[in-house]
Amino acid sequence: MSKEPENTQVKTPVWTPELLQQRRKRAAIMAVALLAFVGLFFWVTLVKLGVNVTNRPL
Amino acid sequence: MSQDYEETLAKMQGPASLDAGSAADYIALMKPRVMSLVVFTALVGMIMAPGGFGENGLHPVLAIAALALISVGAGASAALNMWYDADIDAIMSRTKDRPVPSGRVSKDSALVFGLWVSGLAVMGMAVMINYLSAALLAFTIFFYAVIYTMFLKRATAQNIVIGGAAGALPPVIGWAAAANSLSIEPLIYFAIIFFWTPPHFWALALIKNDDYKAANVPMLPVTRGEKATLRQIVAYSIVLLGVTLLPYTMGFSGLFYAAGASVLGLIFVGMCVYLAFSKDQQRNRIAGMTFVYSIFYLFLLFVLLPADKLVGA
Repeated sequence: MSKEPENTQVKTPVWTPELLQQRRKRAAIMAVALLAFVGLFFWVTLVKLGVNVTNRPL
Repeated sequence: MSQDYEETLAKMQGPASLDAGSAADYIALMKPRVMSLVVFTALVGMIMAPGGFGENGLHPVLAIAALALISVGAGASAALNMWYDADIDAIMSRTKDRPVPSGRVSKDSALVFGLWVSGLAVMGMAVMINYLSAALLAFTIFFYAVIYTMFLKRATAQNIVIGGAAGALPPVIGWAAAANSLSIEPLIYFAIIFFWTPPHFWALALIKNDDYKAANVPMLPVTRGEKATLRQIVAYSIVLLGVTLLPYTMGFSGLFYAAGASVLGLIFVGMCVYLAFSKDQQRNRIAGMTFVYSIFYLFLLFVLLPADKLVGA
């Protein structure tokens, strides 16, 4: 007797409203983290330059 | 194999799925509790470095940046660890609810997240702080994610002894961030955490012995048995007591530190001996106490170091 072939078809995932909401939240938090990183870079740059930022030939 | 495990594997290896992980899951990937100890020991490394936060030391903004990057780097290496260890995490009760084995974050997402965040942390450290601390951070991530997770953990009972080097590096990175050089002091701080790790971890391994057996992880209690592990815990606690006194005997910490470290260390040795002679039915409870005290012990040692500097100033 032959066995029925198993269903090997890959199911396409579906974005449910909950998943979409979670993705939006993740994206928002990632944006905040990236902004924080940019802010940190800016702040560190200011500290490293210090008063030298105005010390240049005009 | 348990049905739970089969279901978890199916979740991880099943058809393409959408990543259902929340931001909290990604934070959990970074092992925030481990990160807090990393940040704290790195901060102490910075404070103890020549200049510390003083006039010739690290600017507070740079110190904040360095600490943020060290913590993020440590978190990234934890994410890589969870990516690689998802199969054994799924078997162990302590780790089966982690984001990857529970199916909330896919393995690929954990890998990509870990690699990106590692890269950002190391490059940020190189650009904002200095190359030495960046190189040390990169080495720490590599050692934890590759040497420990991929090679040592499943291969030898000495996994957490050698792998402990990764956890011991943060005060060295902190020192390097502040001083842009290394000397004997940060290496002693490294040695303190290095010798603290085995008794700390083996106390936990005694409690979770069945988990490690089921997952086939060759922790010392699994490969050599409880008796041998208990002997090793006591031996390491005694060596640790000696190592914690090195800052005093080498002359860079004072009596205040030596007195505190001696009292804390003797209590730890006492607890380890008590654990070694405990009856079978009480062992897990005492191992749990020893594990909790070991965290408190390390925390206080690293409080004592800068406190002694303050007292001596």
